[in-house]
Amino acid sequence: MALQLTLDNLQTNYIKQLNSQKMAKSKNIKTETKKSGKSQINRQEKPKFERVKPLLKIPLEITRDMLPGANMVDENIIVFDNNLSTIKQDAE
Amino acid sequence: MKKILVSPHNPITGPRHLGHYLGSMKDLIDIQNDYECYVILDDMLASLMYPKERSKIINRTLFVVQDFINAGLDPKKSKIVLTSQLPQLYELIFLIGSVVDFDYCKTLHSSSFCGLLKHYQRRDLNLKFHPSTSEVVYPQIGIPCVTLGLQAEYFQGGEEITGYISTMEEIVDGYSSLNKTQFTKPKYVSSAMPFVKGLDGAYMIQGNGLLLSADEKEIRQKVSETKDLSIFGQWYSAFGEKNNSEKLLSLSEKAAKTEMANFLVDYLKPFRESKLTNGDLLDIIESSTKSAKNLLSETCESMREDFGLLNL
Repeated sequence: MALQLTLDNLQTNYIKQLNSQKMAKSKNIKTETKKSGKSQINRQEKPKFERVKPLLKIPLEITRDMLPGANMVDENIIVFDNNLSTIKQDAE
Repeated sequence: MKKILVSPHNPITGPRHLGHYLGSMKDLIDIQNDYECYVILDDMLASLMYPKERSKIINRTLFVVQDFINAGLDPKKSKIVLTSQLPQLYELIFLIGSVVDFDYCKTLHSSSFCGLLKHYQRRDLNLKFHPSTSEVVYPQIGIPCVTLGLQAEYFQGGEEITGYISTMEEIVDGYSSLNKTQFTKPKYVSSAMPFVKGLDGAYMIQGNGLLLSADEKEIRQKVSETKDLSIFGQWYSAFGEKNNSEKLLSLSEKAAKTEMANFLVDYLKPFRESKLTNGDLLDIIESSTKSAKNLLSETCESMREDFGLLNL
């Protein structure tokens, strides 16, 4: 009986300990997220206007029929009408 | 209940230009009352594809949200969601990935933007010599997974996103034949003008295009530099200004340019005079994200049952 009680106490203490560790951990994560969120964005400011420049020294050249496969178009891509002869880029 | 429509966009280039507007945004605004619209800004894709630009993604994404609101998207009716804010999406990708052949994914990757890059171009972007697992998988099935997870029946945007339709069909066929959860194959809602020409006559990007938030001086200058006036005809048609398009033929070059510049200066006024702060934009994203998360959780729960997993 006494042994059972000690075991029960041990289990209860272990669970309590686990829960408090869990709470402390989630608190830390929450605080950190809040901090980084604040430093990332100033809520009072407006988004900054930016003129994006191409990142590729030699842009990717594709034809219009390749667009659905490419899934996107941006500053790094030149899209030609479906006329392959205009693409100067050599095959690797 | 309105049917769900997903419109995916890549925020990496930030401020939207006329090509984005006429090729997709305007059409979405026009039909926003007919559907429950979800604008998906794939900031996760931007981060994976452009490691060099990571420090700029948040600001550029907020700018895109701002441009959508200024274009007339009603945040009370439509939702604007960022893929990075949807943890359920990554569970979906993992579970749906079980019915996507790796070779199929590799084939899609080989014709995608990243797959088409030469080794020296990958270096420019800070991408590793060999594609990572994320690069092979995410850009091919990320948007299909969020679309299916949101239980969308319609998929809207420019012609560059049409490839996703067949990927979604492949996923639905593969998943539904083996599992209880049944996905719908979304129908593509095409834009009136999916190929918009830039000021030099080539496909419009930021360099040869006109930013929606450009100031009056820049609008007038760029319009005056245009050599081929037939581009104005295409733009007027896309704006739904048929009369202006027909009138163009009877005008001198100078008059046509002045007319187009006046039209754009007036039309784009809301973009130049935006009063939205980052806080306003974050609030819009936050409230949109809640409903997206609910729908995705619903889908995840059903899929967990398919996989014999616990739903707590």
